[in-house]
Amino acid sequence: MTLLTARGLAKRFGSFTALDGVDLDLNRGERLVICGPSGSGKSTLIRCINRLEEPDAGTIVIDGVPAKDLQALRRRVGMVFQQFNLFPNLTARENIAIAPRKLLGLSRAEADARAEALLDRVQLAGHADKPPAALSGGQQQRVAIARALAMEPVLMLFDEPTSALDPEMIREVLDVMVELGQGGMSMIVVTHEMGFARRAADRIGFMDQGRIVAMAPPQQFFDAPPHPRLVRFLDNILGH
Amino acid sequence: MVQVLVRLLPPLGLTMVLSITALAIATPLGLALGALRAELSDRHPAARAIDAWVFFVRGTPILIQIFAIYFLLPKLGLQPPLFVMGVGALVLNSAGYQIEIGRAAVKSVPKGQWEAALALGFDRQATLRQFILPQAARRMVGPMMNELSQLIKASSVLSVITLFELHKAAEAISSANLRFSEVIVVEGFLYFVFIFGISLIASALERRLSASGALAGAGSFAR
Repeated sequence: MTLLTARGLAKRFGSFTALDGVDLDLNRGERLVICGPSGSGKSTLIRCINRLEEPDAGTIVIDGVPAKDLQALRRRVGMVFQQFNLFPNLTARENIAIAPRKLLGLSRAEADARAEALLDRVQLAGHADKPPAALSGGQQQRVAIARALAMEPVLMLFDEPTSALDPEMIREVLDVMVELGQGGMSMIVVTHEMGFARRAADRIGFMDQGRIVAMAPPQQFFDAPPHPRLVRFLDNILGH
Repeated sequence: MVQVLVRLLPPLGLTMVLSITALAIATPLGLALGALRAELSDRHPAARAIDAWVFFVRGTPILIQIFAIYFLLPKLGLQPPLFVMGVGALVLNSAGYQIEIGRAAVKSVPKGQWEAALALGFDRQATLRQFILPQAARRMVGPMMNELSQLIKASSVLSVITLFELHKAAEAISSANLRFSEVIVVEGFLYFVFIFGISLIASALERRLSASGALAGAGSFAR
């Protein structure tokens, strides 16, 4: 069953074409990884899905509903950023609880309970009262994932969630994401972590110059890359 | 000396009332307009009006700003009491600077903070109020303390429109008793005590903001 349908997405920044007519379908519960060289439009694509970037052209339908009401759309689509973007003046618990409390009308006790449960789920029970500055990068990113989950989204977007992390912290974040996918969450993940893609993705898309030029299940994607540009890309990132 | 001090206390009272009234108006006004300015594009008419205000205040001496109000308002058919003109001149001046302080503080909050709140489903207004302004507040405390003491000192220039505040009173006393150095020492001392007192209050406020966590976590912006 289709969760998301995007047709003809286009976005330019000045003279630079970031998206050049992208079509994308995502089934409910599907885990899609998007990779590609920098500047290929990966981030722009997922930022158009929750309209942090306004596409110049194209349509997006999520859950059968065209994305008209911006706030309503964003409440149902969670996003995790490369730089975590936690609120530095709030504790881990407050970072997670504030949106359900202010936007979904949960009481403070309900929202806090939801936050505690999510912290437990991302292996951070006991860190609830810490401000972001007291947490490692990997811990901050897991709080950020919990913060997005607190709105009970139908779709999670990850924008290079491990690119700003020290190598030894990447695993703990990817483990949370794998588990999330196994739990049936629909996800679109922009990442260069090919190990994660192989392990957790249902399909992998490869973008180049604002288009999705290849899309295949992991085995085919890696073993029989369906596009010459992808062959070079995989050589470059797996070859060292 | 003591006699001079006693005679300067009532005018010091007027100076305090003038500055604190002006502050109570200029600070919320300046910060609100500053936050608004940070949200507007450069070409928006309101943005141009705010910029014009800031340029006028920065580009002219306060003496000119005070005279502008004192002489131009009556030409427009307005004849408010002297006290109102005095407060008006201080607000005109101080809000002009505080607009810049507020604008810069809002702009200095990383874009990622906006995106995080918007992505959760907050609208821009709620994002500004709930997440951006509390973080901007901590960046404003230092410049605001400066502006506060500037405002109090600027109130001395209101003597030119015959408001009988501290400096005007000191002038009157010294031109009568001709003990200029004595009067000026006492006058300076009184300004100092007032500004020092206000700065103590401001530091206490800063500590409270910091204890409540509003100032915590600046380090996490680094990455």
